[in-house]
Amino acid sequence: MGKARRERERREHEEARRRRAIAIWVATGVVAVALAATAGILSNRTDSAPVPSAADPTSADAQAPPELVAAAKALDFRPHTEPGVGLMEDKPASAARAAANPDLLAPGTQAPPFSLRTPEGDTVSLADYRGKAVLLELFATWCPHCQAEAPHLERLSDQLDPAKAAILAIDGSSGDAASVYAFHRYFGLTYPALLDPSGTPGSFTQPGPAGPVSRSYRLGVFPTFYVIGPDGTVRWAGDGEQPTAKLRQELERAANA
Amino acid sequence: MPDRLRNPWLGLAVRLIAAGIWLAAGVAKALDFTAFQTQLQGYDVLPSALVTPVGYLLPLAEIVLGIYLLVGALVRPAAIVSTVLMATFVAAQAQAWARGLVIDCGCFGNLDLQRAGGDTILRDLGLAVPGVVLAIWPARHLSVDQSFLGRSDAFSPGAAPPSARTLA
Repeated sequence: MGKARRERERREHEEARRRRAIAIWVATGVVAVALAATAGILSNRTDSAPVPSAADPTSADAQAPPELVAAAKALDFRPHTEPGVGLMEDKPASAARAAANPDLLAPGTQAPPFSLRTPEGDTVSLADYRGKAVLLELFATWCPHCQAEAPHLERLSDQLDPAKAAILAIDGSSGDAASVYAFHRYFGLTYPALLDPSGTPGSFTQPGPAGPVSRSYRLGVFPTFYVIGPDGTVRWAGDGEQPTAKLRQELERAANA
Repeated sequence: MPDRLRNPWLGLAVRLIAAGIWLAAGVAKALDFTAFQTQLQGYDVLPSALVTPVGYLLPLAEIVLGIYLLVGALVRPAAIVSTVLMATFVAAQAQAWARGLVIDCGCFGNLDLQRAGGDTILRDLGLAVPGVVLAIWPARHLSVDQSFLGRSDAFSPGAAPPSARTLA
């Protein structure tokens, strides 16, 4: 009699344990679904800036070789956006974040010299800018963060004193001439964009590897920015989207040092 | 497990270390989701559409994993997830290292900036050890598993052999 009761109690005990185990697994499933839902909601909740509209390409096209214009038109370049893109540029300088890439060239380092071609075939050297502060952007035509930066950099470029400061951009993804020209044509950029080819050409639909100059600037994240002083030394480095106010502040600091 | 290592408090310490690793990593990333998403983008392994959702999901999942290990709920499954996650992180860093990518590890968000490479791979392999130990010998002293499910603690003297244990 006692043995049967103990057996019944043991079974009830086991059954209770089994129910609790099921409850814990069900709760875990609920937690997993809640996590996925939270990530989904956060992803969708994060706003992004609207995609900038296309600039009038007439003046740029007038100065570019017709075959380059035709190749760029054929690409039908269009920027795209993602959640979280384009939200940094209008923030105050204090909103700038620490660089994600710990190996960026440190302030005080001599900026690696370069001499690269524009999509139109002109040669531009860093040495040409000696005596001016330079904001160097390492970008990629396919990078939504770089696309979001582009109109802000153009406005900043308009506001700079050309005797004291300038903006240069280098395609750090081995972008071909047509893609880089299409990018600058779309955004109506007036500062030079330079090609930095590696063995494998990239395009705005196919990222390529970093070219030799981009590697010498330790490119790790698009976009990467350097402010180079009039003496050719690195004054500031950052990566990811930046408040335009921060870029202006660093440029002015370098130009007026 | 050697008898001299059978000490429930040692097992609890291993479990708390594993929990602490995940809680620290998850909270550090969650302090600046956007920075972590930028770091994730640098690995160049996820389609761009997945970078943002994974950038939110991973830190939250790490925090939950840490809580499960802390309270000792589903210790063995949590330890297996811990080991798989660490192996994934090591693989991601190894491919970045092999490709010569100069990126931040992102292992602890923006709190510990370190270039992904041999050092961070070795560190993560070390951090994976408590999870591997718990997957083999689930430490259930002072745990939900022990209190509510009656599961035995592998670190206690006289614990049931691995073949007698269940997946929880």
